[in-house]
Amino acid sequence: MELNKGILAGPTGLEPATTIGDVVVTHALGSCIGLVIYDPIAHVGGILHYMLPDSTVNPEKAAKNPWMFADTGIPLFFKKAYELGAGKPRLVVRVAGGAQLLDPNEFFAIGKRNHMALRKIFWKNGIMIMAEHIGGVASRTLFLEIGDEKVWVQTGGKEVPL
Amino acid sequence: MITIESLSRDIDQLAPIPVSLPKLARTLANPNANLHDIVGIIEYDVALTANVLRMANSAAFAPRNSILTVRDAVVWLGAGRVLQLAVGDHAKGILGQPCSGYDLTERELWHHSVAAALGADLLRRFTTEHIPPVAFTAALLHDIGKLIVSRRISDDLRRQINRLVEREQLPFFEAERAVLGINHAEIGGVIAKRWSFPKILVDCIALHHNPDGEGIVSPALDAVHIGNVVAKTLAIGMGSEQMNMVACANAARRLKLTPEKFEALCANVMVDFPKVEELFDGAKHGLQHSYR
Repeated sequence: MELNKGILAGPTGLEPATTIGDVVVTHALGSCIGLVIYDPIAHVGGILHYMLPDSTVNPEKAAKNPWMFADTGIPLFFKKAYELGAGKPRLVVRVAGGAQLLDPNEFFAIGKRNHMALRKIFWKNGIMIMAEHIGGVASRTLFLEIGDEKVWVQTGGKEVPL
Repeated sequence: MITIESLSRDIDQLAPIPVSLPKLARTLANPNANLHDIVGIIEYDVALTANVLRMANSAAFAPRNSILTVRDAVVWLGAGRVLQLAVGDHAKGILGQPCSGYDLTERELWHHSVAAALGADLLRRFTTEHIPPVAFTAALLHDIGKLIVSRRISDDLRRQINRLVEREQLPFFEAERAVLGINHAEIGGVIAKRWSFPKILVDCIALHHNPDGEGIVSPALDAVHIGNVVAKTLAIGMGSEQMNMVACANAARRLKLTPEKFEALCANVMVDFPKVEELFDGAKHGLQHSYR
């Protein structure tokens, strides 16, 4: 069997690689963002679940757990994928999450700021997003099937392919 | 429609709260209360005494020497912390139940309550306003009204609420009020009042969705509101309400929060959540993501 690798990085750390047919799942994406990257040739992919846009709010925590923040988690996540054999030009990128409370002043708009932080990093690095499922007031669960590159979102009792 | 008069029986069916807890809350709300009064209330309740001693000697508070008396435990933990722990220990049994009327499975409402309480408590690190210890307790109990609504609500009423949320774009608690005549926050306030908790705690629960609305401005109420916003932002215990609540920026401004401080507060809650859960449950919260 060909070795397929899935990585899952989230607020609680990094989990080890998986094999073909495994489904990587991240639950409870509220304002958080779930970033899926997948190299369909090397079959290397994973999900990054980050919570906040900017690590400067707590550099100490970012040092312990860089996956919590967009600015520290995203570059590291791509680096990890490259180490596992992914190639940058082949990576397919999908994004889900960034839900918001009803907040006309956008004081608490972490979902929106999380999404903006990601787009800024991608724009600087020339990375294109293939599909997004962003915003709204409902939380999401995000799935990635290693091997088939099947990605889908579960929200409000419905499953939506991504 | 649910009327306040019709709630008595439902409230009685919730696990009755030991009289010592509201008594302790009332004593702590009194600025003239002294250590002797507080120790007296705890010692009168054998179960509470055992609990306070257990908590004081737990790894979370790690005393250098074993704590053997209630007086030493109160001095070591602080009276406010004793109330928080005692109410939390009692509430976990009630709030840990499934709340199917809100699509909350077993322990989801408890997790949400702990996250909100932690949010209200950790706010102290980010504000110069005085947040009284009762804010933690009120945030822990803020959604207790959902347990009553969950028992009373029919599928048809749930559909009506969801229709108002989807079609009229009403916040969930307003749709609830439009359909039921009362919302879960107001029912929570009725429960707290019936349990003889002090007025500040009753108000914090009853108005947790509306800290601007009733002319009652208090840092405790603002803290409970922000605590709930934190728990929702982190998607801890969402249920059918999801993130469909109005987040009040005025409450944050009164507490001198900034959007950056709010983000830092969320990070702190996420990091401390497993420790608090372990303190109450003896087990840590599972990962928010997994392989299958």
